[in-house]
Amino acid sequence: MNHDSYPEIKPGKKTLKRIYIAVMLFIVGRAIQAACRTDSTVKKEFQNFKDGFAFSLGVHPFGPWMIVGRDEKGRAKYLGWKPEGKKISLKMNIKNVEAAMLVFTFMESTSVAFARNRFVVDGDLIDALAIVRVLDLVEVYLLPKLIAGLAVKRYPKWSELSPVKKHLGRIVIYTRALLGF
Amino acid sequence: MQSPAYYEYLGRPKMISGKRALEQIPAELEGYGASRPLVMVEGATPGVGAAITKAMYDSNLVIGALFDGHVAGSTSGIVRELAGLHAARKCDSIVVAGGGPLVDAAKCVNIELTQKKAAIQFSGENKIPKELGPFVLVPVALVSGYEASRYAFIDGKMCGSDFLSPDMVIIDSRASSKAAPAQTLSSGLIALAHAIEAILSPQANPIMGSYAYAAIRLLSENLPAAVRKPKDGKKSVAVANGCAIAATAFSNAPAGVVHCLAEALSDATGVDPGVYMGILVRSLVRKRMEDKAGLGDELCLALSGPAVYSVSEAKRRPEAALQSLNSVFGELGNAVPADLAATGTPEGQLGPAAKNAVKASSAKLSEKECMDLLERAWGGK
Amino acid sequence: MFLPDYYEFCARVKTVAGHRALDRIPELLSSLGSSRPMIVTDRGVVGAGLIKLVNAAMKGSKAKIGALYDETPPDSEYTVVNSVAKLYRAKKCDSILAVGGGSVMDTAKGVNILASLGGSNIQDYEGAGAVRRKLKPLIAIPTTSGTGSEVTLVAVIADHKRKVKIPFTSYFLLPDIALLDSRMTKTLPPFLTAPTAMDALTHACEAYYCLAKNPLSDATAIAAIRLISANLLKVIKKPGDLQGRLDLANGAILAGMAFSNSMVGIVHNLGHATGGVCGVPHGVCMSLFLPYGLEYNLHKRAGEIGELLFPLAGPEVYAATPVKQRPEKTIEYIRGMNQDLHDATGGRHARFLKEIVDRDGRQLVPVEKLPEIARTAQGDGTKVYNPEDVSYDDALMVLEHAYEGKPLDRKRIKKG
Repeated sequence: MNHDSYPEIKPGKKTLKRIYIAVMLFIVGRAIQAACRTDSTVKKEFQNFKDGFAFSLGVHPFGPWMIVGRDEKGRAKYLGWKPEGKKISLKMNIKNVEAAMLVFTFMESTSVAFARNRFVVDGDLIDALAIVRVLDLVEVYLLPKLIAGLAVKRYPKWSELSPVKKHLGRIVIYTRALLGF
Repeated sequence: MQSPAYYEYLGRPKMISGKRALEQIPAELEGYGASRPLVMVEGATPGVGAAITKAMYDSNLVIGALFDGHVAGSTSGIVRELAGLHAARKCDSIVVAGGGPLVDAAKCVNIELTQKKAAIQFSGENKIPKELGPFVLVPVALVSGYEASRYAFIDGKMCGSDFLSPDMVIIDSRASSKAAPAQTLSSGLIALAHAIEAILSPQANPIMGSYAYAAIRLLSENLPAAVRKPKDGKKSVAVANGCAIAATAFSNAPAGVVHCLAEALSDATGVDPGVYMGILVRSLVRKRMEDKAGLGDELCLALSGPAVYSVSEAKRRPEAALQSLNSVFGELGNAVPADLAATGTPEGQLGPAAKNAVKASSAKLSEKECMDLLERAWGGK
Repeated sequence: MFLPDYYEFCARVKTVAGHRALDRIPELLSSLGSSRPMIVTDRGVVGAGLIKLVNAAMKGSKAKIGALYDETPPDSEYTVVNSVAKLYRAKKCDSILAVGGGSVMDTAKGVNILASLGGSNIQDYEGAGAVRRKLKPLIAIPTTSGTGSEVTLVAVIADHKRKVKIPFTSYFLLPDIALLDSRMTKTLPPFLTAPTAMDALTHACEAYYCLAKNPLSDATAIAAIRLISANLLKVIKKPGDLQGRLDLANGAILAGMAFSNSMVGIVHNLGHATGGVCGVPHGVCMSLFLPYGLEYNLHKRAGEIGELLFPLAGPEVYAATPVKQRPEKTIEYIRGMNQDLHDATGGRHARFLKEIVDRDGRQLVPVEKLPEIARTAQGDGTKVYNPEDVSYDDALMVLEHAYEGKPLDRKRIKKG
């Protein structure tokens, strides 16, 4: 058998998809930081985390990632996209780029992705669930109802999140996310 | 439904099926500490190798070697060569996408690498003493019915061992929809026959019954459409699921009369065993209905589904079950001959086939039982 | 047959089941390459004479019991796991026979991690991917029907200091063999048979409607429900019915296969929290919350809940009930089962939270604890797999109804 007929193949990269995911992670990371200042539910979730808590959300094994931490005042702070050198208490990794695409193109909601074993969670599960709740809420703010409805299990009703609050919140969060404060 | 006084059951393969299933391979292999598979694909099936390669992008995995030659039969020669390739490239696992002899050869390569001896030395039942290396099966069409089971063939001899079951079966339309209609049909008929025989088996038990039920429902609802429209991803995935699940049930039941006769006939005539299994299993079901044993509730439920089963009066359930089975074959139409005679099998082959089936079976079949069934199937009864 | 866009299913445990399955232990140990098993069990199991049966089965075997640990607490705990692993090593054991219920199984799985991978503290193995090699042989012999832990890949081990329960998850935690012998549950009294069987029934029902459902989890769930539904009351009335006991054991293992792959939802969510806050046994919570879980998810899973009527009540009732009415009939049937069990156990099987009492007749779930239970439920993983969101307010609303035993006010369910 001529072994050369059957080559070794090193895996290529899905560069465009990784760029897309990196952009989405950046937006979501900054949006969480902004939402913490704008929405009381997100604020409460972050205050419940321990001081120094930080979580990373990203794609196994080579990223991209985003890291968000909790500062001493209990607020969410976007800590960038490099996990090296940071003390990360909760790592939420999606198993591969394609699975991450399914999540970030909203073809699979976070809960469905969890149920389908697309995630590997390293850290406290209770904290991970809180992050899933935060992600759901941030997605409601960031996305039009048609798309957010695909991404979350239950789109908040008028009584829980009035259109005024939602749209105002949306403007503020986008502004803050893009400007980084 | 009642539990038997004693049974054993093992469903070894992990099933992963659906959207982006192939992309799960690197993470799954990582769980076994493996990251350098020998990937074996059917040279004749274009696109599967490329799909698997692309699915490994952005992972820790390196494909040690991508083998896409044609494997006509699982022989010691080809197995040795493939094992040599595996060793030369320092592979640590095997991913095989295909069916039939390719998968047999892949399993035997796995034996040779772990046991450091020729695979033929392990033919027979339970001769493999320990776990083999990680083994991933990606169905294109499971044409022999053995691929996802605990069996493998080397030089025409069978090896049976729980360690030969794939560690995982990855069902993805990018592979399963590449099957030719004839292959899909054959794989589906074999699986259907295996699942029906599992329910009727003397080793029947609630777990095996569940697997067989799932297989029969999936195949009944999807096989005809998958044969008609082979490129339909969803249908091909459903059929592949039915086949893999049936193979697990088959691994736990001794081979039944339909299986043994179909194999014996196929060995003699070269006609696809799937066609024989399809014809024979229909006759078997009809025969059982006339017997005192009857079809049994479990088979009636699996063939009819809960909706039809429950609206049928208790004593009419076997008829309803046969009707459901007949309608599946009806939808398959001319693809399955109505009787054995129409397959072109010489009538003189029936006697020898019955004898060979009895010899090959571990389930104490009787020659009379075999001839009875063959004669029924000959006339399409 | 429902085929989702994507699913995973693994039930890689060899099942050996029968009226005298224990007799196979010597051969099974030999096939696993073990000659010095350790028995992990608890006082209750010993007291019921079940370890004597295991010892009798080992007579004449080349393998000899290397050690016996019979003090497993009702909740698997990490200090226990650490000390049992020490014993395993000291006695040079090479496999584990786990004989007992959920806590024994979880403890045994934890011990197996340490015994196989080294170290002295199970907490070093917290975190994803920490267990990534095949472990030493483990044979699970359940004495209840049951938790299904004999086929799950999770071990939940408590840390009483941090007041948390850590789930260890890995396919390598699956036992090699699950051995079901009808004699192991023969003496289980009715007031324990009922909740453990309802635990299994709940596993199967939740698996049928939760987010990760798939053909194999559906098929195993249906078979489980048929077996449990047909045999539970029979066995309560005649505890010595060995065929019934075997059928229940098979139902429980099938339910275990179903839910460990399809996951569970609000019933387990509230059940875990109630158990954690008020110490109510798991099975008691399951039977009680099941009808509420079905009601809560009705607007999202009516079809599936209606299909459950088939294995629960049988084909005749199923056919006689118009499709649109089947979900309600399912819920009614479960409530009926709870009522029947309540009557058959002389009132010991609780139908609602207010009714749950401890051995001294004290109420275990005071109404003031409901908010704490609802809060605790927020942190439980099973929430994710429920078809509908369960917020704190939702959980509290369901708990209030379950406290009194009132059917859920459907108008108060927030529909997503």
